[in-house]
Amino acid sequence: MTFATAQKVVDFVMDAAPSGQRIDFSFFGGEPLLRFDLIGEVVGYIRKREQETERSTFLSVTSNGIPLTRPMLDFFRAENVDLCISIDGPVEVHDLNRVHRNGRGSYAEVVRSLQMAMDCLDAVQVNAVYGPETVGFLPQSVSFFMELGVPAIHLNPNICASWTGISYTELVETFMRIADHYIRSYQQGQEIAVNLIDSKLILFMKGGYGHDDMCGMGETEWGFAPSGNIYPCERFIGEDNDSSLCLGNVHSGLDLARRCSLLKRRGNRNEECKTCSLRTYCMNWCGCTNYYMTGSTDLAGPILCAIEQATIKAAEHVFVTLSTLDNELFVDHLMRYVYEGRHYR
Amino acid sequence: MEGIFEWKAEIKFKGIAAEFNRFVDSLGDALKAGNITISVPEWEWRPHHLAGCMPIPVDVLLGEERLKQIIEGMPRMQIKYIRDIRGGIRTAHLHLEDAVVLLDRARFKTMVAQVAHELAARRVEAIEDYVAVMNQVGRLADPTPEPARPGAG
Repeated sequence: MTFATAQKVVDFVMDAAPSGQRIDFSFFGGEPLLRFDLIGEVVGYIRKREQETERSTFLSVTSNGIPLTRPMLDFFRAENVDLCISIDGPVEVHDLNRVHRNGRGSYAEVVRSLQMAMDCLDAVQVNAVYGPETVGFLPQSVSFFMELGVPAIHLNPNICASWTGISYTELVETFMRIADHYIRSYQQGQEIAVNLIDSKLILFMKGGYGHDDMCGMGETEWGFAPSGNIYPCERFIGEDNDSSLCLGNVHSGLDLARRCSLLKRRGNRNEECKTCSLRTYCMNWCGCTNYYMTGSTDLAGPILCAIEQATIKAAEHVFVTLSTLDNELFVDHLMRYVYEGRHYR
Repeated sequence: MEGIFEWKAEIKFKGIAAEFNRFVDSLGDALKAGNITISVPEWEWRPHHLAGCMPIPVDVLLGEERLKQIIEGMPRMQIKYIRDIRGGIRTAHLHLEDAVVLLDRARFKTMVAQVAHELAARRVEAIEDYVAVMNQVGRLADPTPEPARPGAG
């Protein structure tokens, strides 16, 4: 991406975002730190536009950690940029998929970068992607991250993988073991957050997803390719070669007809979901996940259903157990979700 | 002629309500006379141990019913939602009419326990539902009709 295109992206987002709402900019790839020079320029431009428009922004970078250096961390610290490092778990899990071009695993370098980042920044997060071949290792990975002292763990399914042949029962058992690690951590006085658990804990408090929580693709969520092509979500960019998903270009503008057509296909139209008692806690409306799993943005596939059910059950187990055990750290953790948040929505 | 001087302080008041009211009146007079300005500190917000789940407004997290529990016993209070104030209070709080109500931890904990109780009560129903939905999901995954059993007409 050129700086001129990046500027257009920032301008597009500043114009498109509803007034008063905080804007999140996330740098990802490929590997974004290969263009750290550009990130520096773009952050400077965002700060300038922030002042001009009186908008509040939140910046983050998701990196594989390989090119990470100390000066980069100093920059993130100074500019308040959040860092998330992609690491799938211990060496035997991580090196299954994350290898160099010559086939050598990248685990050792990534762990070194992660530890350097944790020494330098207040809140480093990790992103662990799991597929059908690694989903069974998730509890082991969570335990591994806990031992490293990582406070915030993202577990994200590989939505492009073929998930046929997965046992739903095993999936539930796996997620329940993650829940047990979570509970143990709080019993030991170590506060952690795991996205799939925490997102549901919040929902239990709220009573379910509200309209504002639903997929905002093409409305409040956008993805931008290096070419400046606009996609309704960053997960749709891929290799930037699927014109059916492209909604225009920042240099030439949005294709409004395509956008309208896409907006009509948001939500969920599964008959099975209408009567499900868990529907208010389910992400069956996630457009990109649905698209990659079923070919339709508004039709949830069986693996999403299974993952969501397993997640809800695991989170429910966490909530009920820690509350019953009168765990004060758990109450503090939940309450932290509202600290300072009142003025930033 | 006396020179103009500036004085800046963070004030912590301790005293009875009547004294506080007198103090507020004198501050109000000074404000009207243009002698004082009030500013609130700006702070940098950072996510903390939240795994991508951003801090959210307390009224969104708790919902209207639970907010009503918070203001029980305060009949003149009405909930109104004010967004995007860059104020200086870091603790979770609600703006209720002209008052600010801090979110009391003990009350919050009670609400967590209530939610846990509701979840526990739903568990049996959810387990039954799980089997039913999984059967539907299985059919969704493989819409091919089941082969006729040997010997079936």
